[in-house]
Amino acid sequence: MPTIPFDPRRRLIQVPVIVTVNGQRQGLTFILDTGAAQSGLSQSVLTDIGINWQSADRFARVSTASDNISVPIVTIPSLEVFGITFTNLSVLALPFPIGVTADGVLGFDLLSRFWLFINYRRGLLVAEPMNRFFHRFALVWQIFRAW
Amino acid sequence: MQQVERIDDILKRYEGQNVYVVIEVLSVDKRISKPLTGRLLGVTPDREEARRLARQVQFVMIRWVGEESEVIIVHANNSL
Repeated sequence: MPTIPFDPRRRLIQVPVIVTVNGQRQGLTFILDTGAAQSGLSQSVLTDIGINWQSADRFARVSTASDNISVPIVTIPSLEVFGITFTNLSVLALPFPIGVTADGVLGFDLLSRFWLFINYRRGLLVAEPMNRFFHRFALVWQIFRAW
Repeated sequence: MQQVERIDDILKRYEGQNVYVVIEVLSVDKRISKPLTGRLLGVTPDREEARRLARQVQFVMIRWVGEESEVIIVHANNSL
C-alpha cells in the first residue's frame, strides 16, 4: 500500500516517478496537480531521457497562470508511479521555467486510476490502484492510520 | 568511485547551491517507486554536463538543488 510522505510546508505535493526510455531508467519527481487535466514532463527532462519532443506531430492547448500555449504531445514507453507501471503513455512536453524543482506534473489522466487520500496536516498521501478491489479494506486501514 | 549513500543525504549536502546533482540509483522502494540509495556521479551548474554524466549509467537521477520557482498550473484544453 503506497503511503508517501510529503512536506506540507512546501505548499505542494511531490511524488517519485520512474521513467524508462531505451533501457535507461530515470528517477524523477512530479508535482501532484489536481488542476491539471493531463500529465506532463518538463521539456528539459524529456531531452535528458532521449525523447525528441521537438519533432512531435501532435499538440495540445495548455493554459498556465499567465499564458495559453500549444505544447507537443509525446509518448513515454514506461512510467512508474505509486508502484504501478503505465506503458506507451501520452504526456505533454511542458516548458518549465528554470528553478522548478519538479520534473513533471501528475494530472487527472493518471490520478484518476487511483484511490487517493491526502492528509495535509500530517503530510501523508495514500494511493491505491482503482482495480485492486480487495485492497480497499487495506486502503481504509491505511487512511485510518494516517488520520 | 564514490560510496553508496542515501539519496536524501546526498541531496541535502548540496541544498541551495543552484546546481544539478547527478546520482546513479542503486536501490528503489518499489511500493512507491522512490529511489533510496545511490552513488554520486557529479555536481554541476550546467545541464548539458549533467546530461553527459547521466549517460554513463543505466538508472540515474538528475536533481536541481537551488532557488525554486513558483509552481505551474496546467490545464490541457483538448484531450490526448
